[in-house]
Amino acid sequence: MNNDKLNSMYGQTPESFENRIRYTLAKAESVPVRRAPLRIALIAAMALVLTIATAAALFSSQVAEFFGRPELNDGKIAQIGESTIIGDLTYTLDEVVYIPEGLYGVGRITSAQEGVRILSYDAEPADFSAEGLTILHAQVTVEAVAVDGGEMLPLSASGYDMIPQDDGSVQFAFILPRSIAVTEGTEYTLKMNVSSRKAKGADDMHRVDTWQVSFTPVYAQPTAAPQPQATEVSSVNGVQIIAPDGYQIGDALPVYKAQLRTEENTAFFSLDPAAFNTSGITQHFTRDTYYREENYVFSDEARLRMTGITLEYTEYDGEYTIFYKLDGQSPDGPHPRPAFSADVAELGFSAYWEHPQEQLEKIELNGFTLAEAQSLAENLLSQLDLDDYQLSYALDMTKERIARLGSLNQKIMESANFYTDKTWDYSAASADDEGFFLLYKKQAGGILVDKGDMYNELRLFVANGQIRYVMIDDLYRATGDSYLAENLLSAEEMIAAFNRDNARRERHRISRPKLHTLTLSYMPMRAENAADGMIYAPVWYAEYSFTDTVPREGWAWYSALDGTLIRDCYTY
Amino acid sequence: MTQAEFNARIVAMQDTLYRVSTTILPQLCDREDAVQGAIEKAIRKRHTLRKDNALEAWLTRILINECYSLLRRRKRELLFDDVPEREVAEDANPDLYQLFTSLEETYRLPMVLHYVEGYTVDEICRMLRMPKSTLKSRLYRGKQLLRKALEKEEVFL
Repeated sequence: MNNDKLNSMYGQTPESFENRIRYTLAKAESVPVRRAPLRIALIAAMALVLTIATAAALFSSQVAEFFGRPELNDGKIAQIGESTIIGDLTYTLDEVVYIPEGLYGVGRITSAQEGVRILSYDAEPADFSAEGLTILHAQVTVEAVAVDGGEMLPLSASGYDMIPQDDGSVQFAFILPRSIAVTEGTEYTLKMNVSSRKAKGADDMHRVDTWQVSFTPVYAQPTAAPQPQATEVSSVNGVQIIAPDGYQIGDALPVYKAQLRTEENTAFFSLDPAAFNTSGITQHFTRDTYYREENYVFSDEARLRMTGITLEYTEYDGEYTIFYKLDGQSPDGPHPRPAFSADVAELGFSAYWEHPQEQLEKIELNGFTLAEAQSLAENLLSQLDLDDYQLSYALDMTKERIARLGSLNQKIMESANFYTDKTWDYSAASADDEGFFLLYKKQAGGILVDKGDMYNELRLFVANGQIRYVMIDDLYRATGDSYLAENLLSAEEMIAAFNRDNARRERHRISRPKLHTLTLSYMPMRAENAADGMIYAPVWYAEYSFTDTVPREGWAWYSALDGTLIRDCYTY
Repeated sequence: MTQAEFNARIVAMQDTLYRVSTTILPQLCDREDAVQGAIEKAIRKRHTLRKDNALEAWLTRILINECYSLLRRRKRELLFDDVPEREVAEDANPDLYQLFTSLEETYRLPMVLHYVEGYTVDEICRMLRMPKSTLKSRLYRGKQLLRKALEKEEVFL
C-alpha cells in the first residue's frame, strides 16, 4: 500500500494543531503541570452542551449531567451551593460527587457587572470579540484535599473543563482522580485557587485567592454504590510471593507514621550550594510558581534547582539548538546543553532500565573506588535528611561502557525526526569521564517502598572524587513512630481481592488478567482515621499478564491490611 | 533524554498525532483538545516511560485513549441532528479521504497506524490492546474493503 498516497488524504497538519502542541509544551515548562484542561472553551463547544430539558429526563445530579455519566447518580452527592466573591466575580461550587474513581465537581463563575464575558485562561478572546463584551479570564483549580479532618494533601493529578454560558458566565468542572489525597471518607475539604485577569491588551489586573469549602456527600439512594462482579478465584500455587526471607504472607507487619516533605520541614533549602560546587555562584533566582523554587547557576555553568521535594544538580556545557528534519529550518533554542557528565549519568540510568546485561565489573576507576563514591553520596543524602534510602544499583561507567551505551543512544536519536547542532562523540570518552552511576531506593523497615514510583528512588553520578549529577524527588518519609498491624490478609484473600477487580479491568479493555506475582512493599497513604495523618503501610505489588496470544504485563497495588485496590496500571 | 529533547520529539511527531486523532475525531477542535490532554498526561507521567525509544508509541497510545474519551463524551452530548461533518484540511485528497473514512473505525485505526504511521504489528497490539491474530485480520479485511471501494471509484493507490 502506497504510504505517500495515504498520507495525501490528510493534507498538511493545520497550523492551529501545531500551535496547540507547542503551547502545551511551553505552558508545562512555566507552571507545574498539575491540571489538564479537558476541553478548551471555543464557540463550537456551545453547540454541544446538553439542553436542560433533555438532561432532566436522564440525569438528576448536575455533575452526572455535565459529564454525561448517569452512574455518577449512584455515588455520594453533596449539593453545596457555597460561594466566594472576589472583586466583581462570584465563584460558586454547586455540587461534588464521590465515586471510587475520585471526586467530580461542577460550579459557576459569574460577574456582578453587565456586559461581561468570562472565559478560561486558554480561550482566545478574539473568538468572542464580536459580541462587544468585556472579556475576563478566570479559573478555579483544586490544590489540595483533606478527608475527615485529616491532613490537607496536595494533588498529583486533576482535570478541568470550562464551558461558556449564554449569559456570559462560565460553568467549570473538575475531576480529582483517586489518589493518596482523594480517598473515601465522610467529610471533604477542598483547598482551591481562584483567579481572574482582564483580557490581553487591557490594564493588567491579576488576582489570585484561596478558597476552602467543606462538604459531606451522601448517597441519594439508601443502598451502597454497585460493586464490580466477583470472578473465579485463581489457584494460590500459581502466584509467586516475593517478601523478605522468613516472612509468611499474613504475618504481622509494622505500620509507620509518615511525614510529608514540605517547604518548611525540608532540609533541601538549608543546604549550602557549595556542597555541590565551589566554583562560585553567578546567579541565584527563584521562580514565580505555586511553590518555592530556588535556582543557582555556578561559574562553571553547573545548575542546582531545588523545591521542597525535588533537587537536581546538573553540569552544563554551552548551548545547543534543535532542528526538525522535516523542514530543517525551524531551529528550537538555543537551550543550555547538559554536559557530558549528565549524559553519562543518563546512560547509566538507561542501563538500569533497559540493558540488564550491563553489570558492575570494576569497583575502582582511576584510583577512585565505589566505596568512596558511595560514601560521598551518602554523606550528601544525610545532609539532605534522606537517610531512609539504600543503595540499590551501581554501575561502573568505564569509557568502554560509555562508548557502547552511547552508540545505542545515538541510533535512537538518528531515527528521530529532529537533530541537534552539537552531539557527543561517545567513542572519544576518556578516563577523565569515568565514574560510578548510583541508584538509591527508599526503604521502610528494610522493605522497598512503592516499587516503581518516581518519588522513591534517586540517582547520582560520582566521578573523580566529585558528585557530578544528582536527581532527587522525595515526598514522604517514614518516621520511627510505628505500630504492629496484625491479621493481615492471607494469600487466598489477596488473590480474591485481585480477582474481584477484574470486571473493572475488563471495562478498561484489559482482557483475561492473570495474577502471577505478589511483591511486598510499602506505600504512603492516609491512616484509617484520617485525622491521624499519613502512614507508610504494607502493600502488595501485584503483577499480572493479560491477553491470550500476545503477552502483556499489568500491575496494581493492594493494601495488605484490607485488600483495597490502591492503584492499577490502566489509570496510567 | 533532556526535557528539550522530550519536547522536540513530541513536536517532531505532530503529523502522526494529527493523523491518528483525525482517524478517530471528526472535528479539528476536538483533535486539538485531545492532543493537549495527551501531551499533558505524558508530561505528568513521563517517569513511567521505561524506554526512551518507546516515547512515540507510548504517546500515540495515550492520544488514542484521549480521543476515545472525548468521543464518548461528545456522543452523549450530541442530539442526532447535530452530528458534525468530518473536517478535512484544504489540501487533503478528498476522494481518498472520503473512502478511507467510510471504513468502520475497527479497520480504519489499525490501518492508519500500520500503513500510514509505520508502526509494527507488535507495537499496534500494545497500543490497542488486542491479540495479534485480531489485528492481522483487521488489517487484511480493511485492505480488502478499501481496495473494493477504490476500484469502484477508480481511484488508484
